Amino acid sequence: MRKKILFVIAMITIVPLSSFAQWRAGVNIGADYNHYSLSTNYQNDVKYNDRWGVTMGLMGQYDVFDWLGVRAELDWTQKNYHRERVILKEQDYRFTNNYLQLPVMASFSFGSQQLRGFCNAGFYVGYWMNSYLKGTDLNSISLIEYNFNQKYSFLKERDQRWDFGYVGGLGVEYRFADNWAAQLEARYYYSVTSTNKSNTMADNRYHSTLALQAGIFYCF
Amino acid sequence: MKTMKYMLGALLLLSALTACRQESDNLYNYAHNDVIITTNAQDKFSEKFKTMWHGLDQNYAIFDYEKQYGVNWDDIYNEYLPLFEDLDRRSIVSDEDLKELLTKAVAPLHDGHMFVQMKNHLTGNYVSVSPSIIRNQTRDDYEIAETYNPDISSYYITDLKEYATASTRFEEFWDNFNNDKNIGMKWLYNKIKEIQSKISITSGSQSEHDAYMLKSYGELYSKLTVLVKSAKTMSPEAAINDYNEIANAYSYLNVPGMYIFDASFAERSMFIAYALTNNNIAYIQLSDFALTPALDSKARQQYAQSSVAAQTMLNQVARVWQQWFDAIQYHHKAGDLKGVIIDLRNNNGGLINDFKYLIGALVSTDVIKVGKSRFKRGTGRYDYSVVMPYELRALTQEHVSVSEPIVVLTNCKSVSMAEMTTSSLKQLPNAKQIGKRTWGGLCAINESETYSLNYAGHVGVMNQTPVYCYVPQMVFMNDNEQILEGVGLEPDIEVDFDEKLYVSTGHDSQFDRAVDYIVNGK
Repeated sequence: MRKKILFVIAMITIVPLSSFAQWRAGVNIGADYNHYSLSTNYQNDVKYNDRWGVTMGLMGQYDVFDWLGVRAELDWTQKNYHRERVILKEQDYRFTNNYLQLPVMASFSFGSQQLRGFCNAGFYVGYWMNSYLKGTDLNSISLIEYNFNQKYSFLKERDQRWDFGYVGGLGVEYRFADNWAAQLEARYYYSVTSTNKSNTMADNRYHSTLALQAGIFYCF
Repeated sequence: MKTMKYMLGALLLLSALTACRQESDNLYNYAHNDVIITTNAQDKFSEKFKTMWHGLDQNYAIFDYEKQYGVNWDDIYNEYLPLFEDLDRRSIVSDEDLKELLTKAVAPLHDGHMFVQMKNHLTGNYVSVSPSIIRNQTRDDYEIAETYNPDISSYYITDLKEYATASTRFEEFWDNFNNDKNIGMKWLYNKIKEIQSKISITSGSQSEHDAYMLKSYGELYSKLTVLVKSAKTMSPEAAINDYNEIANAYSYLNVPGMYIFDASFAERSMFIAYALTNNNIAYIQLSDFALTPALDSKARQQYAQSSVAAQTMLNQVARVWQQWFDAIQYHHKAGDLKGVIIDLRNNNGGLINDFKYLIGALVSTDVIKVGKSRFKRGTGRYDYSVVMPYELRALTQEHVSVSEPIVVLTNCKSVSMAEMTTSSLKQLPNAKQIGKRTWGGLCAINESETYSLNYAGHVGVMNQTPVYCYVPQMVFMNDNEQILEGVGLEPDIEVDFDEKLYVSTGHDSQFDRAVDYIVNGK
């Protein structure tokens, strides 16, 4: 916690000292691959599989120096997963989870004016907006299968809708015009907030999301 | 270079922060008789409580529903664990002490089937608590329901043109065995008297055969007399076991009616009554839902196997149901069926498959809506499936669709399948529920063999593990997704059972009201 505070203070101190100062704004879009970590304990045949999703958003960046900037984004990011039972094909759930995220990162860059590499590192805050479930289940008493495609109902005792975590990414930028730059980035979101609220027994469940995204910046 | 240093520094900082995720606790599967898991609970009350608490935390299907009643399962852990730890510090803990504390801990739970059993390792006895019995015992109509079982036989002379009953229950069998003058105890008594009279006539001389038969009949009569007294306090299984031992040992005496009673009926037995009123109302009463063994050939093999006596009893049940079914078909087609009464008062529930023989025989659709269901999915307290329609299949045999009024009679001892049947009937436009509010036990349960279908239904093994909990694997909802567990179904027309009327005239006020509704439409 102390390290986080020191990092933020350092960033705030550096910004006013620079004479380089350049703003840029842009959009990004990409695909993400989400992994849901939890313990199924003794339910050994229950599997959680990773799933692809979509991510897109708005970007803003303030370049303090030519090698250092501060980036903030407002992204819609999906954190999807698939729950199935290996021995029972009827219990099959595909979760599509939509988050609104605000990553704030330091952006380090290196290379030539036209082609540069960059590394982003920081934290994000997110909000779990909604979810949809699609799949099949079985009423084990009547033995009638049920196909569903519906909205998920939140339960305040169970669902933690606020999300917080760390984010890091590596990418390349190509300045294809005086004021325009295109970026390609591989980014990783590491949540440290369990989606499941624990009670007397800790039952923590986390998202880890790898995003591959492309973006365009307009540099002012 | 400087940039690289900062980048590496930031990435290292991030990787250090990734240790912020917290581990989950390990959970154990308490569903089976796993000695390793239950070893601590063998001789510690606090461990028994923890086993029960964790088992329910992972398996109980309606903790979200319990919230609206202010039940906080974590608070119960914090409040009662110290009290169970106090028991561990005592050298004497009576069964009553244990039962009292266990009752306080689980009484707030609303599931209508659930009971919790805990072994008192200091006395060697098991104590059991059922929250739903505790809750329903406080109802005004509980005692009446306990005292009087539905019985419209007194209407036979004046109001019924047809009446028939059958049973696979040991209590009816035992009642007949003791009271029917042509079989069992009365036959045996008369036989003994006959031989004694014969000896007396011949001035005390007796043949060897007579002496032997008198001695054998006498021995048998004595043993059965002892069983008649003790059976009142025994479980059906124990009474059946003792009776079968005696019947087997004295089978050579060929006492009429003294055949081996199929032990499988201890688990699945029923009483059925059919009547057709003078104005053509087809009435059926079921004490339990156990029609399937009588009406389904595959089930017959499972329940009755090769026992001739069991097959006979099942045939009788099948015949009574068939009379009810045929009466409906005949009178509906003739245009003079007045209505149908399904009497589910004091019905303990039973086999889901029976649904098709009751409601399934009254409607023409392939699948009948019962309500909605939701199952446990996962070890988390609130891990649930989606809410699914709960539908059951109708009777495939050709039958009419009843448009005449249908009344289902219920009382506070209409439980489980009786309530699901009522819930389904109430969705029909021509059906009404008359009587009293039902028990409040609609969540379905399963056998321990099917536990892993939903990873829910049982905690431990009864009479084997230090703790056993009988819990639902699912929650039942009505069509509006309303859970009525611990509450029950309110009747459309509430009618008390008039005890004085019944005792003085044999008239059943609830049955009379059902007939009145069918005849007069209100």
